Amino acid sequence: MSSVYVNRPTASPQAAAAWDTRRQLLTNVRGIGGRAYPRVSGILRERSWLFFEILLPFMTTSGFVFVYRALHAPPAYIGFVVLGGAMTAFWLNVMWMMAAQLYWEKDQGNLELYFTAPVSMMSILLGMAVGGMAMSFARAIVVLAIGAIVYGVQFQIEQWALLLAVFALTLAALYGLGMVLASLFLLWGREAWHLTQLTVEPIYFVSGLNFPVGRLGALGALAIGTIPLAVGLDAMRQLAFVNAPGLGGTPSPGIEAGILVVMTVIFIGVARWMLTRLEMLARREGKLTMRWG
Amino acid sequence: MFSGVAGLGWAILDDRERYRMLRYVFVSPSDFVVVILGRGVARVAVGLAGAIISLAVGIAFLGVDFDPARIDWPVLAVAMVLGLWAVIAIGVLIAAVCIQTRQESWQYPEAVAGALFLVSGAVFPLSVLPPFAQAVGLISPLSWWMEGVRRALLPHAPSAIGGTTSLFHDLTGAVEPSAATVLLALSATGVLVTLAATLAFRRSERRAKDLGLIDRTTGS
Repeated sequence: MSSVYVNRPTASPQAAAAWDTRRQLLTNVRGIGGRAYPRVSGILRERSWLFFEILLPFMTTSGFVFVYRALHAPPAYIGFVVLGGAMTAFWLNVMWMMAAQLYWEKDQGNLELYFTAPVSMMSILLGMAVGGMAMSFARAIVVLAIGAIVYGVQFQIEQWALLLAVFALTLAALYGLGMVLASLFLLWGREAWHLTQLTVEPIYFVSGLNFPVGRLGALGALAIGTIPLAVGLDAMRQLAFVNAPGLGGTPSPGIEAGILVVMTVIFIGVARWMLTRLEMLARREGKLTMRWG
Repeated sequence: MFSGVAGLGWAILDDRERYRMLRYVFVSPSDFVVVILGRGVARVAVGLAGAIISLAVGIAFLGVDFDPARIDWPVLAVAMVLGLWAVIAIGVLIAAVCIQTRQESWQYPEAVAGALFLVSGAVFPLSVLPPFAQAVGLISPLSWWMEGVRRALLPHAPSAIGGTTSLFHDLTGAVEPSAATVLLALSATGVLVTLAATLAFRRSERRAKDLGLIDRTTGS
């Protein structure tokens, strides 16, 4: 099989730019790998993250475990907290390393390279997601393992396939949302930092990170309908802690999986539209990628 | 607490990774640590506003038993001064770490603040923790600061450090610390943290200078 990257003389620049589907696809796959590479290699080069990204956040999660112990809450609540702590890794990754990333890439002067590169912006963002997920997965697994060992959390899982499907859909919806927010933060310009901050603690609260979201009533229902973290976490809790007390008032895991499918389609569709529009604006007006001071 | 502890680390990261100003700050005639401390004071001021809002919401909507006439003003004043001093010292310590770290270390300061939150007795008494974690809490100035402020504002609130099953009780025989004990312990732990922060920051600063870390941006 001949390589798609071999230089071949063409009759005109237009002909050179007319890539076949295979070449486009391979270039995008390489783009994903290329963007994921610095994040994965960074994990190996800067090992301090093992302490700061895994051990210390677990202590924050532990704080809520001790709150429930001090309040003599049912043991299942400790499991809810540990699962919430594991999913925090993905939310933080989506917000800090995707949503705010394009804005920071602009600051670093990389954004114009992305827009001129012959790959889709979706591929670049997907590369960020894949690279970031490596670290988030590690953190989530460690949090779950330590939670099970140290705090004796016992998972009662009857539908493994549905649980894995819900987890995968939650990630797809979360990273789709991350792509939408990346475009929005870039359009809104400065202070992506504060916008990102705004989406951490309030989202933790309305998503029921440390308690069943059904306890929030109408606010919880609104969260389940709009925030992938809320609906995914609630479905996973229902599937990982079958018949646990406190998990009432929300749709069944099957319905919540359906909600996640709809969210994934909408977020990725909107992200695609917005990124295409951003690329057009960047090329036509030349201001979007410009650094100011 | 979060603003002060994490704020100085963020100031380093902000100036190095986003604004790329850290090298200019570093070579300016001002003492580097003084500039960073200035950034920290601003963050603490923002944090204080948040604390006042939280207290107001607690009183207005959550039924917190708060009576301004019962506030122990001298204890509050001393605890706030010593506590904020200790918070900034811990912030300097984290800033010393952030000067050295590469890649995306934005979450590091908050992770440290969150971990200290666990042993500070802010949301639950230390006595529910295992003894070694209680010991960490007892040498953290944040625990004593929380205890002092809580005692000054809410005199009838239960102690987060004491209790019949607490390590404090095992060590001292007292059920809960007196106000004087709290302020003394806050002073002592604050001095220790300040010394550690000064040494760590100076060493980190020297190492960063030697290795050229001040202007190395490392976004991934």
